[in-house]
Amino acid sequence: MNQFNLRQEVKKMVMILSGIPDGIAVVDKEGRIIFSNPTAEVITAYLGADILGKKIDQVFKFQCEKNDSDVFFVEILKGEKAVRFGENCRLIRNDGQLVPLEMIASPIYDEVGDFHGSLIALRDLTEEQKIKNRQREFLSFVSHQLRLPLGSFRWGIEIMLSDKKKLDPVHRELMEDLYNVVIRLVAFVHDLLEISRLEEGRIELKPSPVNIVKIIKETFEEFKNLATGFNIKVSFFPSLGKSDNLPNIFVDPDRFKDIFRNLISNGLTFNTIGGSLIIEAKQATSEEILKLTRHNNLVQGMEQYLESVLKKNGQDTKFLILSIADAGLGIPKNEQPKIFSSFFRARNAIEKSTSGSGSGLYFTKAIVENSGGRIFFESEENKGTTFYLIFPTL
Amino acid sequence: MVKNKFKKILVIDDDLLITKILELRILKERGFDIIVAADASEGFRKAIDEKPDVIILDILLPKKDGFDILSKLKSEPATRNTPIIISSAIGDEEYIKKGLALGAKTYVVKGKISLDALFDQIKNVL
Repeated sequence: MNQFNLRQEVKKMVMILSGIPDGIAVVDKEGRIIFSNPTAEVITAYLGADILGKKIDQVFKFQCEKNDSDVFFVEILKGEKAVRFGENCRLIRNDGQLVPLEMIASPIYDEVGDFHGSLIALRDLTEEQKIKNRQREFLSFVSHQLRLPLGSFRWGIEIMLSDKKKLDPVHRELMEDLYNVVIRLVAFVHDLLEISRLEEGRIELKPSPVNIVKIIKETFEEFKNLATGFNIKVSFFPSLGKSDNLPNIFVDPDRFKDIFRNLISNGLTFNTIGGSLIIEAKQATSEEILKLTRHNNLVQGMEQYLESVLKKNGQDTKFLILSIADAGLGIPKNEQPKIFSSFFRARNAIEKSTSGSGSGLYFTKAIVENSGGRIFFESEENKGTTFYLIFPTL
Repeated sequence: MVKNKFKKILVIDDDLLITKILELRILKERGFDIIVAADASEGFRKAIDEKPDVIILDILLPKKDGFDILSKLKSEPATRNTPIIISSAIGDEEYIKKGLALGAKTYVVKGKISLDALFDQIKNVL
């Protein structure tokens, strides 16, 4: 099949492609648009005749918060795999309007496997985002409505508990139990609000060069008693010995503490009595990271991530791999894909500890990714879980 | 008892349960007196008339919001230097920043800290 044939193939399919409700465009291997259906024209505000023959990056210009579309267009021309683009980006239409748009490009090969171009599906996300916004507004409204009475409950119970003589032991114990419930609800509402803020992109990160050894040790201080209580042996950076000689990473120190608060708390809570928790860090190249994640089916998009970091920070960029390994419950295999979803808690985690909103890892992942890092894990039930964090070093 | 020896706290909050709780808590404190106002204009009037030593101000108030009255109190010579603590159910960073930028001494999210911690804050700003 040569380029002419790709056009012929598309011609044969025009009736089908035109009828698809999503936008469809076909580009040749040079990235020139050779077909677009009516929906694609509506989405881009181009007339069909004006699109044809144009380079894809001339028609699809994006306004993005962090990422840029260059890597995506390069991937399309390589034609090695299907690629997706559009998260946190809006298409600048021909008439100047902005539309949230997702593009998925799949390479087209002939019978002998030669690459001829790509089929690009375009999905206008306007309606979807409206629904999501409504959900967020609802979540935020409900959480605020809950916080007010919870504040009164908390302070009211504190007043009752503050006068020891006025309560008999039975009522006092009941009141203390109620107090703990309220405190847990307050924390849950806090999580709900943080999630809705995060989804609205309203959490501001203030990154600075950070020595993670210091920060992790500081964060751990808060959990010292818990670790002693569970008799868990905690090792910090065994490979570093006594030095804290690691390159800095560029993250928000407060948010980074939040990340480790979550991971340490999980690592202790879901550990076994007398178990271990090993926190480790080492430098790695992008190839070493790929090797580490190659056989992990749950890690997606690592190659694109590494490529975009190298493109931005320079090809010789090194990465820091941080790991935190517990010897605890592990995550059941069938629940592993859901572990970073909001409000998800694994079956064995619920059995072990009924408190917890299931928002910790969701939140952690979002913060890690917004800070330019990646998180993934390896886990085996009844053996333990290791979480890995990857950040480019400075 | 000499009245003027007492430190006066003005609580501007439309939530009667909160004001009741604060009143109960203040009864335990030696040397504190409490005045309550349920909306912004009453709060402003009492801030001028009663000359409190500290004001605890809610943000979500009927009619005018707490930020309005905060700017007004900060531009009025009689109340310009009175320390103001915001106590609100909203804990958004933007709200906290705005409150502090308008001159509040500190911002407390209702329910997030204990009542004792709130009183530590009050004593800190006095």
